Amino acid sequence: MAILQDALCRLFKAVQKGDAEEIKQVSADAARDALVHDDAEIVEVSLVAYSIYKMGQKPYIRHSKEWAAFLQDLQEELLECSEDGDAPRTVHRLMERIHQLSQRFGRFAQSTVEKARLKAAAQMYAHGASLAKAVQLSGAPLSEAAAYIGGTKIAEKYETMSIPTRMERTRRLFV
Amino acid sequence: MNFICDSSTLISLAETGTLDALAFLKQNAGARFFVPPAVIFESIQRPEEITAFAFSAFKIEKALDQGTLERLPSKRAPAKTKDILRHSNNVFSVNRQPLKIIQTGEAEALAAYEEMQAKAILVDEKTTRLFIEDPALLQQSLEQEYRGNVKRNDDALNSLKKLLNGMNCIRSTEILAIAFEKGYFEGFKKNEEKAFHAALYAVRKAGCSITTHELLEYQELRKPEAGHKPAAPSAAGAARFAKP
Repeated sequence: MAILQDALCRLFKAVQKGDAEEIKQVSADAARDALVHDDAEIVEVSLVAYSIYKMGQKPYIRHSKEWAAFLQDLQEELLECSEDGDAPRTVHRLMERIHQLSQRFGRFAQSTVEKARLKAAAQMYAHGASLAKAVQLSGAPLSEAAAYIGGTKIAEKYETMSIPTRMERTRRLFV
Repeated sequence: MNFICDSSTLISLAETGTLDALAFLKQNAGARFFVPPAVIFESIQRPEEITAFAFSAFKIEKALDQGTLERLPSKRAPAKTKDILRHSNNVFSVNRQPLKIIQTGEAEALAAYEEMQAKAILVDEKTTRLFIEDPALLQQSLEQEYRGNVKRNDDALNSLKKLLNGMNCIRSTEILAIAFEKGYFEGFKKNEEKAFHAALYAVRKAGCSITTHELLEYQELRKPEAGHKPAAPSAAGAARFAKP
């Protein structure tokens, strides 16, 4: 619970400062912490933070009334959370607000939430999770997560034997 | 000749339109490919609920219906599945939290191995493969990611090693390479080798954990002529992976 609360407080401070890079880092760290603590609620902090980071980059969203209202709500929610400590309720409400915003702003915003899931899955995979574990915690579709990870350099570290050796072993299996 | 499939390999092959390489190997090499219940859930049942990502799931289901893939009749070796999950998810810890990095599908596939007298597990994702082939490399990578803040539980690792002893892993790239050597790509005629190499890049893009260096090594692979044995690996190549 303390991890979730800390992640939300960090997000609160980053949003207050308007520090986009810190908001993005909160998202990455929350995905890693979700794996360490095996906690899907911490993943939601990652999704909320990434969505705020991405949506905040678009001028037509950033300059809208809805975005201003969302930031106001966000700060009130996070402030309330730091006072009454109901972090799970806060993160669920923030996810709902993100979904409402997505509906308002259409395809870009909707794909932002889905992209956030893929980023979280890749972050967990890079931090040791198997593909199935990363998909289970992040809620990303398996085939999309696999393809997203396939487009990164994560695999580059994991060479355990040469291809001639591997093929010699494989041929023996098919005799 | 039995093989156990993980969802990661089925997805790579289905996404790249090469799932029929398994049918080809069944027909031409007598291979049988078994799919545990949790893998069916991960690769068919769950993705079929999301229309945008369901096509691969339907292809895998079709391969099951056609008999290319065979369902493991029920949950095999549930006690062993639990043991594999318990040990693998307690080998490494970060800030005193055991890292739960393996999921039921992978554990079921590993647990079915012995009972099905399997020759290998088909797995494209890296974590399960590293537990079998090189847990030290997995630890090294975790130490980089968590800046050294990783503890290893030797009891859990040794128990896991006993459970995984003697297991082999093959990825979709090796499936395609064996299928290539046996003629799966012949339909591409003059482009046979190029099509094979393009398929390897495609499965990497679809999520198969293979390095750029390995893909370059695969460029050297030639289809053996009838009656010729492929060259044995060089001592220099093997020395690169020698443990101190």
